[in-house]
Amino acid sequence: MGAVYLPSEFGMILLPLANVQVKAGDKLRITCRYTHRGKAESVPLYASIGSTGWTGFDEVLHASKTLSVPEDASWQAREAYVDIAITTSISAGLYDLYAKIGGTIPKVISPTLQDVVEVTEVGDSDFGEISITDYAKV
Amino acid sequence: MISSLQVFRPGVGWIVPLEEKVTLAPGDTLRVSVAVPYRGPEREFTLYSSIGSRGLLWFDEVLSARASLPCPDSPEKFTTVIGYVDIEIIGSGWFGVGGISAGNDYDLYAKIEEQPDVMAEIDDVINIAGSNGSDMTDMLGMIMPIMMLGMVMPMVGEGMEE
Repeated sequence: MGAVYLPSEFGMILLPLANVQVKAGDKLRITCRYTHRGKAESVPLYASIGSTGWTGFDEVLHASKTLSVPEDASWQAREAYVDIAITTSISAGLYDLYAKIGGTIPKVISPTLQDVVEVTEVGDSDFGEISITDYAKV
Repeated sequence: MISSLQVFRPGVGWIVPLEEKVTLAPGDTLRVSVAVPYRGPEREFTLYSSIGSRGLLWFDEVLSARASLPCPDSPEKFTTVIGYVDIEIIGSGWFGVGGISAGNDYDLYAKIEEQPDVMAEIDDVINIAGSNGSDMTDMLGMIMPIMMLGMVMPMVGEGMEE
């Protein structure tokens, strides 16, 4: 009798539903809950902020990390996170969010959460009067 | 008798009148320190400073330097940010080209490069002692006639033999 081949499978992936406000310089941690069964493997966890349009999801910011998933004989609920750095390349506004596990062909993909990330305007930098307090040979 | 006047500026502190001249020579480094109140998100700006001459329309920069000026996250109130930039004094080269020539009463200014309106200037405070450049020019002035004489003398000698 040969060994039972247990492929690695991922079940649903869930994202938090709460809306968040972020601004440039922040880091948005997206914690995902997913299920897994099968052999251990390393897979990318990928998340993106963008806008859903008629042509698909227009990604603006994204991030990924490698998940090392242990062997699970039966379906196990697991949790992992990925951090997206909020940069000035994203304009103020409401954005959608999704996450997936797997590479180019995802093993599992989350539903897209609409308008859950609000990027707020970064306040302008404001300087007062600059003073030369000292000048000296060093 | 009033012996001195000092200004206390909120967010900056006591403003010390800076009128003393600094005499520098090529190879020296001038450290220009600034204090500036800042309000806004955490961000890194560039502190820029230059030695030169204030003209009617612009500041004629001769030497300059940059340094990063990290500003903390201070969204509500102004926080005083202190920074400095070191300007290396480079003497002028051959015939006074490049660098700074020896001279008195150079002017000094500092600004936030990303927001050039935020600037401070102090005039007539930098003196530059004899630079390498002028030494070279002087030396060249002495060597040139000798070299020319060296070129002319053989010609004169040849003429005499005939």
